[in-house]
Amino acid sequence: MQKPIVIDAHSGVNIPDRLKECWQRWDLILMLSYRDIKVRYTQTAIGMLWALINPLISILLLFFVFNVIVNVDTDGIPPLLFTVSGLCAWNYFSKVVSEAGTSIVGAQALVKKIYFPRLVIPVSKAISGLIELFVVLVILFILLLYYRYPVDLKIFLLIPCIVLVFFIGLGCGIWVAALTIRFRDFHYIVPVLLRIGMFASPIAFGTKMVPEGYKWVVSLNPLTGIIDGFRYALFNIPLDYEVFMISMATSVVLLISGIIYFLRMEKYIADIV
Amino acid sequence: MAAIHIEHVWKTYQRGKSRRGDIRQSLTFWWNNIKSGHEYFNALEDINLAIEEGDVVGIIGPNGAGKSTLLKILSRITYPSKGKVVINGSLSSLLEVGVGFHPELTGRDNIYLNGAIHGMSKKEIDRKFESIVDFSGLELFLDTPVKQYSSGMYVRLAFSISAHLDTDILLLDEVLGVGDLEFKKKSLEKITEKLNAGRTIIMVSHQLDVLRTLCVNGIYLDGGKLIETGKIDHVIEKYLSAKGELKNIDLAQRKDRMGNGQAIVSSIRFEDKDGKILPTIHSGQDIKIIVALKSADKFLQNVDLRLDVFDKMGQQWFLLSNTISDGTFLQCPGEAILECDIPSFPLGEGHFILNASLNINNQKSDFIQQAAAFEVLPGDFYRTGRLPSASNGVLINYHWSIKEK
Repeated sequence: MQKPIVIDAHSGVNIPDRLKECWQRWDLILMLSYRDIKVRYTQTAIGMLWALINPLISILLLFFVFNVIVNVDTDGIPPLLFTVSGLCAWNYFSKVVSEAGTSIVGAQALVKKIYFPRLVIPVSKAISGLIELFVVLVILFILLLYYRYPVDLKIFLLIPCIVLVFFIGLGCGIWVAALTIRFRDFHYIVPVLLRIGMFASPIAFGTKMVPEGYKWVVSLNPLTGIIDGFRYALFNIPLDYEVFMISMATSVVLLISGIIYFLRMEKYIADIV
Repeated sequence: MAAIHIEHVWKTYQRGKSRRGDIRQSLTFWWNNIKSGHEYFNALEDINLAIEEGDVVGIIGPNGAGKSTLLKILSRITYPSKGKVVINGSLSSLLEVGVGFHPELTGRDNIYLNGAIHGMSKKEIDRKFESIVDFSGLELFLDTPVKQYSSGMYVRLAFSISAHLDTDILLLDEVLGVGDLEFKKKSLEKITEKLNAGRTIIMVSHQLDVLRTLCVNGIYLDGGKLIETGKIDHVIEKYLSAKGELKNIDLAQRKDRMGNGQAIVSSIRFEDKDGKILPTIHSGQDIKIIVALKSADKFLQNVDLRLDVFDKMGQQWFLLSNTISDGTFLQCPGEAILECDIPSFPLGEGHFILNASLNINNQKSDFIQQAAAFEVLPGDFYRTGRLPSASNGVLINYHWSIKEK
């Protein structure tokens, strides 16, 4: 006999229990991710090509502004390669945050009619978004071959970097999802923040170009540390550990607080969504 | 041991807007709270119940009685505002057919997706896949996107998945009224099979005859309060007699209505074609239904009135909607009299009721259940002098003849 389900209006949220329940619904998370990917790319005429076109446009735009017009210092790395290495993390992050933000509201038909741990919705967005990351990685590897850029074993550090960017995206995605339920204003705020973020993150320029006094501001951006991580793995550009650690700490705080906030919101979701 | 224990459960909503929406609303909410407190209404008030393992319970009551809210609390979609529920055993709910179907995905994908949403693991679905497909009878359409399914096929697929859930407790909300007759029969059989396997089932339905055949016990809710529990026959009896008492109250004075009240249906009467008020209607008689609207506004725009006609077991017979037959009335006076002409009244002998719903500018303005009741007596529908017997069917115009070869 399993443990009885107790629904008590006055009891608090048992966070480990809720997380365990989420984990038990892993199959649901995978199905939802599969659905998102399939639906996203089967409805349109050129299908998967869109996954390629979006990052290509960002790459060209950033490359043109920062590397052609402004001509920023890229540490001797081919500027296009430099920009693409920065975009890996950013492209994934922005996709997850924008998708996760609308995910609960978008699933309201579901949320109002059936019970499941609501956290699986933003988690599934973080998984289906990995496609975007994968696409940029493919572009990156093509460019590495094209420029015959020498890489060493450090390239395997990309794997922990990808894991980290997954959790950063997830943390921010969960926050945005919970906030959007409560305040629909985040529908409008998030795209603006993402647009700012695209230029505030060191995608087409390096962290070392940021003046000393502003460094702490930049390092609060969780993307800064992880983009530096990608460049360390690929080009051996030395990590600024202070920046990296602050970024990682911000990410951890965001993820944990996001989960707690979301789980506390969870029981009101069907009533307010 | 009881499968479900409900102790002092309340569910309170704030009237009007949802509690949170945007920042401005949230601030005004907070401000109003300080200023004056709020107008709340209780969707459920102090519900106490114990449902035994293996019991089959039907929940009845008029719309807005809290039936669906109760199911939503039991299925953990929404939380009670006060009180506690303890559920012993696994639970699944089917509050709407086809929840979580994605129109772009194929039938096969949707079986997996929907199964996962209902809590089945991939392995479990793999195991039951054939049986689900078999039950639905949709082998040939498995690789077709469900957006191309007919509504009947949609229902079949959805119900087939739900029928394969192996939970101890099953909650059903008005889901038996869908699908074609043959499939309905199959579904009822499947439910009965589950009953025999000792499952606990709780269902909401307006179809009292279905509840009477399937359920053992009943729960009667009205206005969020528990009115009666007990054997299903007893509870249905209680409900029907309470409904009967409503008839004696003047329609305009009735409080059991929903909608924003911009305009209300203030009276409904039946007349013959010469304008004489009819106490009863004969089958085949030409009649008019006269509906009076009352509003504080001088003019009403986009008026959509709809009368739904039911027998007293809750079976719907037909609906009368000006939007379907004549188009929405773009403008009419606030104190309008609307007239519906029905040539050759098509119902056989029996007691019927009608629900009235009025939409103004696509907003629900008034909705009132059992706004009127009427009795139909046998009449000469076919103009042959032979009266149709008291049948359970509508009378339609037809003609038989012998075709010479």
